[in-house]
Amino acid sequence: MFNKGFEEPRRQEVLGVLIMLADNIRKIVRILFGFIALAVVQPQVMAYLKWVALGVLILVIAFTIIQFRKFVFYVADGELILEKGVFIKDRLAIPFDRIQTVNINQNLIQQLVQLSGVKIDTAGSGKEELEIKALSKADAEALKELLQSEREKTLIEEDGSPILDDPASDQKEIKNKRKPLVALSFKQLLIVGITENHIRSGLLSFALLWGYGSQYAELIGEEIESRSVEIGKEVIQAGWQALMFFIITFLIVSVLTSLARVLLQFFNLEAVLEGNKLWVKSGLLKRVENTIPLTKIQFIEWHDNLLRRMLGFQSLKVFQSKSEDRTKKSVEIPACFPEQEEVVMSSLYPEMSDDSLVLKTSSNIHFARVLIIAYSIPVLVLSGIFASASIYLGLASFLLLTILNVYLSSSFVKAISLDLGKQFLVYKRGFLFRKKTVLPLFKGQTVSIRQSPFTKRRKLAHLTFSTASGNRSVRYLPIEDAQKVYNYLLVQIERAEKSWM
Amino acid sequence: MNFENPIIDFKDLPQTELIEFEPLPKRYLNYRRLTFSILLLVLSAMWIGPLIAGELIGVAISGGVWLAIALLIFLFEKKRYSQKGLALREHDITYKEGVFFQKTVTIPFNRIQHSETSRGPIERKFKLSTLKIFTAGGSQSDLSISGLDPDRAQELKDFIAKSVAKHV
Repeated sequence: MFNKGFEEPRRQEVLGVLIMLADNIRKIVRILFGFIALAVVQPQVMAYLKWVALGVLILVIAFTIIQFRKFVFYVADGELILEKGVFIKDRLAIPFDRIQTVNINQNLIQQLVQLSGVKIDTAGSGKEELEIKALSKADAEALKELLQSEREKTLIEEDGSPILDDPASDQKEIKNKRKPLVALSFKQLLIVGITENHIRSGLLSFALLWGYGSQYAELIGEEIESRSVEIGKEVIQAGWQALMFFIITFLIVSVLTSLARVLLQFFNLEAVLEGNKLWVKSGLLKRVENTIPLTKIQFIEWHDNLLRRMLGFQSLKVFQSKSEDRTKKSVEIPACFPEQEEVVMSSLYPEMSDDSLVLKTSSNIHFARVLIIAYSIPVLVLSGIFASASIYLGLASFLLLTILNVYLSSSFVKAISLDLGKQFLVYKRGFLFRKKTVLPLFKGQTVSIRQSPFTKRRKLAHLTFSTASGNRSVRYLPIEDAQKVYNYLLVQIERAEKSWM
Repeated sequence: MNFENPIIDFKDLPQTELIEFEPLPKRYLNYRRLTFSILLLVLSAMWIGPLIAGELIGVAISGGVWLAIALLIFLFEKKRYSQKGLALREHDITYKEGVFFQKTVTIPFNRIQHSETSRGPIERKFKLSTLKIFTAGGSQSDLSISGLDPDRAQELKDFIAKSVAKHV
């Protein structure tokens, strides 16, 4: 495909204009967002803004065409050269040995026009965006291949070792350095979306709607009030139908929100382990890139739920030490299958394979009693509501809900376990929604034990361990076990000389 | 192959549950009681009102309630004071507090970012000082110890600074 090669200066594929146009429009809309919002509220502004928008659009199209024509790239003298700029000519030369990674990605528009972007990360390039956005797939692959092999060559030359003596061993070395972990296909993405915790996202979206709704409630309040009496009567008549309608609406909205969220956040997700770094890139409209040095990882967490367990995958959350400018402290890789889990564990924590168990403990069954008592209040309220319809219905629902309460609460508590290893702490909990935290002991920071009169009488305690990336608490542990973990964790932290942040 | 895998005896580990805690200065109790006296002073409106109105029964009832509150606060503060304690070991600092809900925290020196002392106006009158210890990753794991002797607080701060410097 690339019979032209990359030595001659060349432009991108013609359809790249569309990609650049979409990009520019997005930038403009972001800048002018305030005006657009104003126009929606104020009809007079709207009429006037239409013409402004048309003018801006024509200008942007003209600008984009020039921008496209001015953008050329080529390879010369061990450098990749990008020339661009409409008003001021900009020439970027990227020496091969400074290239860290080359990634091919496709956003929605790139997918529509069947083109790929090649993104180049360099050491210490700061925020400069080095991306060739519109290449045919074959060209993109070829360029990536070329850049990577050139880079390896320069690196080996610098080392003074012979160049490509044995291609097989060289291949292996590259593979060792770079381990692709997860590349989420569209189908997998859909599966992730469908197996999300829908109830949570449903509640979230309703909360959001409620927030928006209450803003306009005053405007439409009177209108609704006069009609609501009528509607109210109908609703009571409809009874079950209304309830079913509400539940179905809730479910549909929930599933759609989770799908939308997953699509936006995890579109085209790619996770790569390279050297001592973990790269995670994803996103539909906004492509987010995270580079996490492995030493900065404080702990990791595996999450799953019933559906995902059946399909055999779980999601991974990586918690890194929080710096001041970063509010987000965890990075999520939503679909990891067992073989990927193994790669993650063996790369992140190679010493874990010979870590032996020191203490195994779990929450006391008293915790289940606490949960059962706490949840018996909603059980009573619900069966009270049913009882107002029919006393038998009330009794039946009370019985059923209580059995469910006892079963779920005790299963939840039984699922909690804390395994203290020589160098690692593994904290598992959750029955329907399982969580597993893996913390290297020396990453701990502070330990605390809490007791209330209730737990003190029963010789129980809550144990909390803090890290530079948040706290985790284990509740209702036997006090002797809690003390043992407390003391052992402290010894491991205080003995550690490795840097932990 | 030289492979050892001894069973860990938890009794051989330094045991935090056996630490002897050093109490805070007695002045701290008085300081707490004074700050609550201000609240009681405001609350005394509840029996001064009936007193002015001349309702003796009202005075007796509300005065009794007021006295009960005052007594409870004073006793509670005494208990609270006796539960507070601080202990320093070679590698960490441990603090405990709480009457009903008791809490013990230990922060190793090699995980402390920095520490600071501060004194409010009333604290100054009572010759007291507050020591704050900061760790990385958010305020949840930070520690604030109020009611320390200023010299002791300074000493602790210097000690922590020295220990932290050793680890960096």
